[in-house]
Formats: sequence, structure tokens, C-alpha cells
Amino acid sequence: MFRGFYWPLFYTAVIISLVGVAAIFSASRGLPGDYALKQLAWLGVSILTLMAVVRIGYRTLLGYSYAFYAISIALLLVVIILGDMHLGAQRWIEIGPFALQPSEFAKIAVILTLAQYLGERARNRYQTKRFLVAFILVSFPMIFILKQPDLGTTLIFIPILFCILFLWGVRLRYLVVTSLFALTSFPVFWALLKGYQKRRLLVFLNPNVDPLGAGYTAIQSKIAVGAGQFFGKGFLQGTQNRLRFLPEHHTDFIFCVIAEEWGFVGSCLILMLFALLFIRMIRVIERTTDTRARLITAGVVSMVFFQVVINIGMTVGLMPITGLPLPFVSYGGSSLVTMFIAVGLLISIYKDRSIF
Amino acid sequence: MTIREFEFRTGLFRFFVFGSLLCLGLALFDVQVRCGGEYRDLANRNRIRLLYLEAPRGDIYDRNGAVLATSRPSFDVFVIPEDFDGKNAEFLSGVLGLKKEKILSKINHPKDAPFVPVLLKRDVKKAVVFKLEERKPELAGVSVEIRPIRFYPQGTCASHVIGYLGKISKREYRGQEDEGLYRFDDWIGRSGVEKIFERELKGEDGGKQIEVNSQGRMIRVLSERDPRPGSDLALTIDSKLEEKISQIFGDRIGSAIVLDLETGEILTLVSKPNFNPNVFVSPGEGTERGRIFKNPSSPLLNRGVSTGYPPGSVFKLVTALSALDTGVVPPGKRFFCKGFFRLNPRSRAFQCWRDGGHGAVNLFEAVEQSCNVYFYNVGSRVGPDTLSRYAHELGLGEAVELELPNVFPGVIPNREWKKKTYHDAWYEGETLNFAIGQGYVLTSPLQILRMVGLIATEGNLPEIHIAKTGKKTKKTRKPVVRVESIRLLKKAMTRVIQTDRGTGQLARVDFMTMAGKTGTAQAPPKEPHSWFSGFFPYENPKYALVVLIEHGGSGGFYAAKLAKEIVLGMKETGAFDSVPGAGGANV
Repeated sequence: MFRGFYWPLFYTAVIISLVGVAAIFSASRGLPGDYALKQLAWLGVSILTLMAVVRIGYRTLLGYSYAFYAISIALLLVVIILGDMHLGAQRWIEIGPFALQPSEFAKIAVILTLAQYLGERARNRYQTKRFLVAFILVSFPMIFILKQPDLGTTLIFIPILFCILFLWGVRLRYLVVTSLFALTSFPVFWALLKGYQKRRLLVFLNPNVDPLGAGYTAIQSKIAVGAGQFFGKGFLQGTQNRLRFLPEHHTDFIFCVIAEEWGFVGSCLILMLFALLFIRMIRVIERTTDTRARLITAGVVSMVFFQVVINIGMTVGLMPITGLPLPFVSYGGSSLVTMFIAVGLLISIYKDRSIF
Repeated sequence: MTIREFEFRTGLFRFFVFGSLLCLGLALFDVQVRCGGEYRDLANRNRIRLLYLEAPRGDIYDRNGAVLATSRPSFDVFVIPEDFDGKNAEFLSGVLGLKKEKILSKINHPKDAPFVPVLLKRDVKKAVVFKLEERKPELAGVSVEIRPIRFYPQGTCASHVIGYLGKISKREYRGQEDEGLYRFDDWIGRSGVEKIFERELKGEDGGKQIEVNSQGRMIRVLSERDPRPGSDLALTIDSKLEEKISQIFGDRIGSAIVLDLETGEILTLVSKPNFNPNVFVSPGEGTERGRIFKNPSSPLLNRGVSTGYPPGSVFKLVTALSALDTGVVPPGKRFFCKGFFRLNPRSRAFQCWRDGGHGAVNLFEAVEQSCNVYFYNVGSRVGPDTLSRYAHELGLGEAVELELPNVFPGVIPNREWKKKTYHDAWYEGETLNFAIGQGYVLTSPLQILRMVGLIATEGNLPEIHIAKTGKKTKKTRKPVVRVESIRLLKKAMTRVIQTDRGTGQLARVDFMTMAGKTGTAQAPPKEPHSWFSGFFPYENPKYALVVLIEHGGSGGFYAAKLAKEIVLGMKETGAFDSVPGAGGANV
């Protein structure tokens, strides 16, 4: 099992997660519930899941990719039905003490499905058809997740699709045309959004749109990050979080805690850990000649990468506030397990590498 | 894809990934190192404050522009915990008349952030405001805000139509948290048009983000959004007439509704007992609120719209119509009333209200004198399912689509309904009760009014409204009935009032011809419910009226008498000034 195991990738993921546990500990002081301890437990579960994925192997899992796809669509529908029964937004399925977030697992299912579909088909024939099918495969989960409503997770599917298509070798003009199409269909998409979602996006351009809600969150998160200065206030010394200026500071805004307490030094350290993670992930692409494996890797890297950029970008005002967790760091079992499944897939690919 | 192209693409991908990370690093450098001092300063002093700019709720007017609901300024005392000095609690306690511990516990509420203003007391007197302003330099963190409070200048007038406001519940608040339309201590419409038009009346709150100095004074506005005021709403109610009829109705329990047949607009909707909606928003009216909630006569219930009563003899209009329209009983056919009716020689006697009986009566006489035995005969001939069908044609058992909450749909039984509800067969005796509006039948006064309106207009009744929404008015669904049947029924209804044997003769007025029907609905062990419903002028129907007095006794006596007073009251307010056939305009 551990022959050819890609330990450096594994260690990097675990180290980032442990940094996350420490940040969650600091962020959740004074909140009821042992978030840090729970996250640590989730880390354990995640590592076991990773081992299981490596054990089973990505080829077997790819064989079931359409089944995974169907299951995640079904779970997303269950979430919508439950959401209709409760009042308002619902992103979880509660099973006893656990809250399962199907939109997280849907990401893996979509990556596997796309890899299976495109990887088995040559790029030089029927490219238009392949392209359209890939597009449709992605749009179903997107529609259901948008309905939850979870705008951030919905949008993350777009770069995943683009990166997979890009490394599959789609003609560049397809991507250009699609981008243009996306731009022109923007008004339709905009009309589908709810008032508060529009406000959150607009706040990014003009803080006057929602001074008490998203606009306030935006400035407070920037204050928290900036207040860290070069060396930070020190572990457990952050005040922005303690005073509850920020909502969701142990989930979506966890980076603010790190930035405030550990300063620019700490932020850079996190960025470098992620950079290391990406270096190791991208190395997997080059180690395999299996197209499907390459596409899985492309999907996983783009998923993690875009979440990191959007999440950190949002805390410093570079990106609108859309509500995406910081991979490996934010509190949340579904997200952590998903990330470790992704890493597990890459480790399995690495092990299986076919270098002649 | 060639190896070369693949390498090119992965290279581009890698460049993109690490380039973006570098950009993030630069942005972090900018925020944390270059501007870090500034942000540290803002963080240390908690210098950002939020101010709510509440959207004024839309006003509600009557049909003539008289104000029924508006907002008045209320002086509310707030404290920003972060800026507040605990030793001032004593002073505040004296001025506001609140316990010191209560003030401190409100301020030290752990759930909220210390920079969010906490409401200490709403709607304080001006004198209190002056006292606070005098000591302002010492009272850091204490502020008086002028905020709108709902105000109903006409008190109880049309209270069931207007409705009232209540504090938003935790559940409701959570349900809309993402949208952020309401604050946790916000008000929301609980009944009447305040509830139905909540979205429109509410508007959208604005807010201000300001930076303050160490004394808590504003230095600059960081961002601001103006509130969007709620839209105003005009009702079809005539508040003068409403008040007049409310006075005429007095302390009786029940409802009176007047409908304009040409427009479908409800001019008055009185439901008694009523309530003063002001007590639900004014602090310090807690005991009065409690009294309203505990009152056994449920003043909050809209008796005209939201509940049902057996219609009694008013329902005979349905039975008569079924006789006329099916042709099962021709209008000239007479049945002999000896004061009671038996299905067969051994069955029990079903009574007529008149002990000696009415003798041989045809349809017109039977409607005029409200003879039970005649309608027992008709009912047993047409059967319950036909009665039910005609009741539905006239809108009974169908909720009126009105701009009010909790519209009662009514109950109109038939064989199938009985089987579903009671798992039992329909008995023939029940048909007899059904035919005279007793037994399972329940109707709201509004439904009876719509039925009479449909008869008066021969099926061409505009859709009933209570709010002027500016939408194009549709028609009420036209009954599938021959017009001749309705015309004969109308003729019979005018005899109820205009002849000296008519049960509704006490409603007669000297300046126009009226048509109607009385009802005395048995409700043992208490007195029967007293009904009257009619339309006028007969020749050219302009208005329809329904009166219901809960346990009011004989309909012919009490409800008809009250109806006459209401019609005279309408004349006084000029309701007939330009109505042909009512002594107004010359025809």
C-alpha cells in the first residue's frame, strides 16, 4: 500500500490542515462547541478516507464515476427539498450530529465524471460534441447548487471545467467563444440571483450598496487582515475576531484570523504552503501518461487553487464575498474530507504512474 | 495533443497558478505592511459604527384619501455599549424609569457586538429627551434617535381591514436572514392589509457606516445607502361610512359589509368587537394587548371574512334557484304548509317557523314568508348534490379572493363530502336541513354578500376588492344559471321587503325599493344568529349589504331593523346622492 506513496504531498496537506486547526482554535474561543477538537477529529476521518481512496485506486473509482455523479445529483435534490421544508437556505443534510454538505462531494464527482468522459475520447474527432456534453454535465450540479443558494460553490465549477478542458486539449477558440458567450449571457444569470446575492457582488464594486451587511463584512475583514501588520498580534491575540466583527470567522473568514494573529509573515507562510502543495500536485500531471489521470489532477488543482485565490482574495478586497471555504483550513467536515479525497486521488495516480 | 503542446499548456497552467499566488502575496503586502498601521489603528479603537436608516412604512388611506395608518416620530433611546460609561446607569435608570440592573443587562448582552447600538427604551416623552440632551457631554454612547412608529389616527375604524403589526418572530427572522430585509427587532404585518401588503408597505431599510473619533463622534461617512420608503396603499373603504355603520352596529357582536355592485369595491367592512391597532405598537400598552388576546369574544377575528356561520333561511335563495333553474319545481306550483313536514308518515316532523303553517304557497310567497315546508319539499325533490352545485355556482363553499388574510372558504356539503368527512351515508333528513341553510352548511357574511351581489347583477359582478391595487379588475366567475331564473328570484326577494307579509319588511325605506332575504340560523343552546342580506335600489342595483348579528335573535326583526338603520346611515353620508331610483337623481 505505501510503496510509491507520495508522502510529500500528503504531509503538505496535513500540515496546512493542522495550521487550520490552530486557527480554528483561536477563532472559536468563546463560541459554544469545541470546533478545533471536532476539526481534528475530522482530520482523522479525512486521513482514513484518503487511505481508502489510495487503496481502492483511482482507476476503480473512475469506473464508478457516473454512479457518483448520479448520487451527488440525488443528494443535491434532497437538499433542495429539505430547504423547501425548512425556511430559507439549506446547504446540509443533517444525519444525527453530522451535517453533510453534498455540494462539496459533487465537486469530486464532477471532476471524476469529466475525466472519465473526456479521457476516454480522443480530442481530434467530434470535439464540438465532447465540449457540449462536458458543459451539460457540469451545468446540472451548478443549477441545483445555485438553488440552495450557494453562489460561491456554484461558480467554482466553471474554472474546474475550463482547466480540465484546457489540459484535455480543447481548441482554444472553444474556450474563447464560451467566455464570450458567458459574458453575453451574464444578464440572464444576473436575473436569476436573489437580491442579497446581487448586493454582495455589487458591494465589491461599490461599498455603498450594502453598508450594514456585505459592505461591513468587507471592510471589517480588511481591517482584520491589515491589523496583523508585519509580525501579527500573536497567537490568540486577535481582537477583530473576538469582538465578533466578522461573521463566519471560523469558516469562510478563517484567513482573517491567521492574517491578524500571525501577520504578513504568517500569511506568506500559508501562501507558501499552498504553493508547495500546488508544485507537488502539478508534478503528478507530469508523472502520468493516462489522460484520465491528467484530467483528474487538472480538476483537483484548479478546484483547490481557485478556492484559495477567491477566499484569500475576498478577505483583502480583491474578490467579491461569495462564501467559499479556504481548502484544508476552514472549519467543516465535508470540505476537509472532500479535499483529502482529492489528494488521495492524486496520490493514487502517483503510485500508479506509468513511466516506461 | 502533441507532447509539446501538452507541455506548453501545463507550463501556462503553472504560470497562471504561481502568478496568481504572487499577486495575492503582493495584495497582502499592501494591506498588511503598507497600510497595516492604518488598519491596526481602526481595529484598536473600534472606530467604525453602523447606523440603521429605517425605511418609513407606507401609509394606508381610505378611498377618499383619509389617512388610516401612517407613521409618527418616536424618540428612542439607544446606547452603544463600547462607548458607555457604567456609572451613568444610575442616572439613566432615574430618567427612563427602568431598573438599573435591566439597563446593565441589556448593555452587556453577550450575543451582540459592543459597537452595535442597543435599544434601551422606545417612544419616550419629549421631557425625557430634554433631560438626556442636557447631560449629553457626560453621557457618552447614549443617543436619542427619532424613528418612525406606526400610528393609526382613526383608532378602531376598519381595524379588521387594516390589521396590526407585531414583532418579527425568531423563526421568521432566520428565514429571511440571507436577504436581510428585517432586523431581529423589526415589525411585520400580522393581519389585515398590513399583512397581505407587507412587502410593498415595508420598503427597504438603508444604512450608514461611519468612522468615529475616540469620543464617539462622527469623523466621516464611509458608505451609505438611502432607505427606500414603503409604497402607500389606498383601500376601497369609505372611512366615514365605516365609522357611521360601526356606531350604528354598536356593541352587538357580528359584522356588516357594504359592497358597491358597479365596481366590486367594499365600502365598509365592520366586524365587532373591534380593536385599536395602536396598542400593538405602542410600548406601555401591554395590559391592553393582553386584554384583547384574552377577550372571549375574540376582537381580532374578522367576523365578516374569516369565519363561518350557518346561513339559515338566507340559504333558501340557493334552494329557490335550484327549483327555478332545474325546472323540477315550477314557480307557480304550490305546496301546502300546515306548520310541519314529514318525509313519510312515520318520520319525525320537521318544523316550519310559523306554528299554524303558511297554507298553500308558491315560490314567491315561500321566499317572501320564508316558509320552511315549501323548501323542505323543494330540497327533497332536487336532492343534496344539486343544492350543493347551485350553492357553488353562487360562490358558497368557495373562498373569496380578497386582499385579506385567512379568508374562510365555507362549507357546502354533499353526499361525497359527508362520506369523506364523517365516513357515513347521507340521510334524507339532512337534505331538509340543508335546504333551509342548517346542518353542515357554513358561510361567511362576505360569501353571502357575494351571492346576493351575483343575484343582483344577474351574474355580472366585478371581482370583489378591498384595496386599490391599480390592477385591471376582472369579473367574479359568472354562475352557470339561466338569467330568467335569477330574474324571478330577484322578484321574489323584493317581496321579502316590500310586502306586508315579507319577513324583511322592517328593512323597508320610503325612498327606494329594496330586495333581500332574512335568516334566523339556529345555534342552540344560545340565541339564533340573525341574518339580513339585500341589494338596492331594486331596479338598478348599486349596493349590496349583509348584516350578521351573532346570537342576535330573529333575522326578520333584529338584522332587518339594523339593515334599515344602516341604509339610512348610508343616505346621510350621501351614498345615494347620484343613484337613480333612490330619490337622488331624476331618472
